[in-house]
Amino acid sequence: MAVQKKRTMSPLMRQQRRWGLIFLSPWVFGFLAFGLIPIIASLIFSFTDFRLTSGEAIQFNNFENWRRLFTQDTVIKDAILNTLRFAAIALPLSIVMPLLLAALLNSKYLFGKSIFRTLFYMPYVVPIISAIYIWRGMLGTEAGWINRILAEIGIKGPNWLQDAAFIYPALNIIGLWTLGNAMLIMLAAMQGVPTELYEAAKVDGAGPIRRFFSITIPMISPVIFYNLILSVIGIFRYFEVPYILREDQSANQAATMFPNVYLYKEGFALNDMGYASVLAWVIFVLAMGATILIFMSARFWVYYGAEERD
Amino acid sequence: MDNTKRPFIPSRAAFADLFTIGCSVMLLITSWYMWQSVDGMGMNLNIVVTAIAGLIFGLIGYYNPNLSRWTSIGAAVIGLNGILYYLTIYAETCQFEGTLTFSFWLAALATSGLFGQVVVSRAPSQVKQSMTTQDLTRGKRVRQRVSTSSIVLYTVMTFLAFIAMMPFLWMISTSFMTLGETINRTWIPSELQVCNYYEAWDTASFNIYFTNSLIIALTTIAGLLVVSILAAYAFAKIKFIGSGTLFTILLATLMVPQIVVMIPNFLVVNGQVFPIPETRSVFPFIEFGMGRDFSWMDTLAVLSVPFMGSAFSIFLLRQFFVQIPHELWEAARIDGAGHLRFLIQIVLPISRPAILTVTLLTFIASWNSLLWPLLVTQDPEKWRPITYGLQAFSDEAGTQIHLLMAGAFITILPMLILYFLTQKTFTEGIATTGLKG
Repeated sequence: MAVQKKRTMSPLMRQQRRWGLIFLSPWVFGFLAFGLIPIIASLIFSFTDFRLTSGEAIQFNNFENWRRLFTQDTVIKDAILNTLRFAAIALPLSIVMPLLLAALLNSKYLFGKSIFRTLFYMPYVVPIISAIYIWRGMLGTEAGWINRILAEIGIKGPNWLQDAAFIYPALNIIGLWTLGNAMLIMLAAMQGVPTELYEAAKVDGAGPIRRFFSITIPMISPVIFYNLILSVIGIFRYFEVPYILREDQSANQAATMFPNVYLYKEGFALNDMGYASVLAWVIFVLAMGATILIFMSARFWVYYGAEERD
Repeated sequence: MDNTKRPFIPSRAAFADLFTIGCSVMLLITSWYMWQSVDGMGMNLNIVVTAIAGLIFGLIGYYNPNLSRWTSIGAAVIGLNGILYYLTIYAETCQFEGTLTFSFWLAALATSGLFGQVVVSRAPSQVKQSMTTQDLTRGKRVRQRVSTSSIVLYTVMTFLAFIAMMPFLWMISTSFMTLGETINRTWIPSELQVCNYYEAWDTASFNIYFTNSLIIALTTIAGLLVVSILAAYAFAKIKFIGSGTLFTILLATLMVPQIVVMIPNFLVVNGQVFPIPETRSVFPFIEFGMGRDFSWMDTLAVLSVPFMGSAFSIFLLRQFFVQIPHELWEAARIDGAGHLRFLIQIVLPISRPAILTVTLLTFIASWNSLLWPLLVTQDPEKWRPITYGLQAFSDEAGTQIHLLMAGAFITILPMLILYFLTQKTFTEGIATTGLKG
């Protein structure tokens, strides 16, 4: 192929380029209109006093928004702390639980895997708004099934959504319900691990737990890495659940103030597009920072030996 | 192996057709019975036509197995028509507080059967055979090793599955309760209040939202497939300077949280960032909904167009297209085909599973999306989707949790049906998304 390319170089390449650009143009258009230009625009807006309601011309307000972010705003600090508190439980769970379920599903002793797989994946297709209403009911203090089951075994259930100590576990229970996607991806990766490795390890006298930690985990580490990235991005786009639960006062207001909720409030309830753009950039920078950190850590623990990368 | 020894047992396809015939006959008998008895139902043309058509479809399918697949779809369509017909009758009786007789339920069951037979597999027997040998060996291995660990495993898995299913159970149980029962905290309703569903459907005007969501999803899918197939093909199969850079940009957009571009996007569709064309001038033939002057608020376009350039779909399809051998393209080019022709005639037929996965994922994402519709649909009469409809209904229904749960179930049901119908493709498709991460 390389030889051929050289032989008919310039006309073919020009033709290739033309076709490539034609094929890509719809996406490039979309990316410019709904990606690049908006991002640049939001950076510009963050320096202005842009309000949707006032019909006045937009004016630059002398870094007022950014000054507010660094000097006056305490809400964003709390919101970021809330995110950290939430992530401290959510990130480990979002890796360990799907991994555990996938490992159980991958066991050769389990017959009728597809039934379990179907059941565990099912919540993932449920619209988030329905899931929130269902869980709001399930976590109810008096009538919710969780507290009633706890009461049956003699434990007085907490006020899940109002108590600041229990709101993050509650939010994580809601989040864990939709772990099916991660589970499925990990299961597929586990099934792709060559069986010779396990047989060789068995001959060497490694037990099942040793085999899991020394073969399975390293072999599927690219997939764990992929899921970790997805979870981190998920945490920075965490919005619907706290927003809906706050709206009807059923959840603790202070503890569910996440950056996205704050952004929504500033931009669309208070109509301050300028400051909301600042918040958008804060979230963007934090998300990028976290992703880059994970990418940098990848070479210490992600094993790419078995996969050819293209 | 074992299929030669039993010629008298009908094949799987024939079984489905016999089932269709049985349902039709049952429907005919019950409609005759309903006509005779003084139920007030009368001789209903809709039922009789459904029954006779079902009978014809079943017989054609039975005697001509090649057509079986098509007659099955025909039977499913008339079955669906029958189900909708019964639902309307049932809705009326709900309003008038009437009761329904046994024969009504029987007829409804028969129509559901007509619809449901489409699920019975009519796959050619070769595939089945290879599956069975696999199953047999797997079964044997497992049977040899029934041990304590297997029992423990089953207990754990069943317990976990029960926990995962508990919210569904709670929702279904609550949706059939009376208001009193929800307050008195009963576990299970004493009598199934099916009319809750009718009430929720009616008061929340789910019929509008339902069609809205369907149209939005289908429009998004149509646009997304065109955009992402072209782009994925270009990334996978056309080598040109700059494609690497563009692909890196594509991957980078996967990492950007949606909410970051939400504000500027909102301003874009409002016409505040740069002048946008009026929806009518871009889509003259499709009624995209009238926006306010040069703003896309409350239009079909605003709910579908921003999602058409999904980076994830492009990435997924590209990973699939890359695996198509380059020799195919060489051969096609020698035969005088260009890129577009090669894409349509060779690449697309090969990539059906990948395209189906993307379609399903897009449908689910579109149906479930909430944040964007919250911002851009302000007029409930226009293009408000079902998720927003449920959210608005929650404010309305307030403490009537049984109605809210009925509404939630209505919202979930299409997703569950879609998931069960396409489960195999779906799970395989999802599994491949992570493999080349």
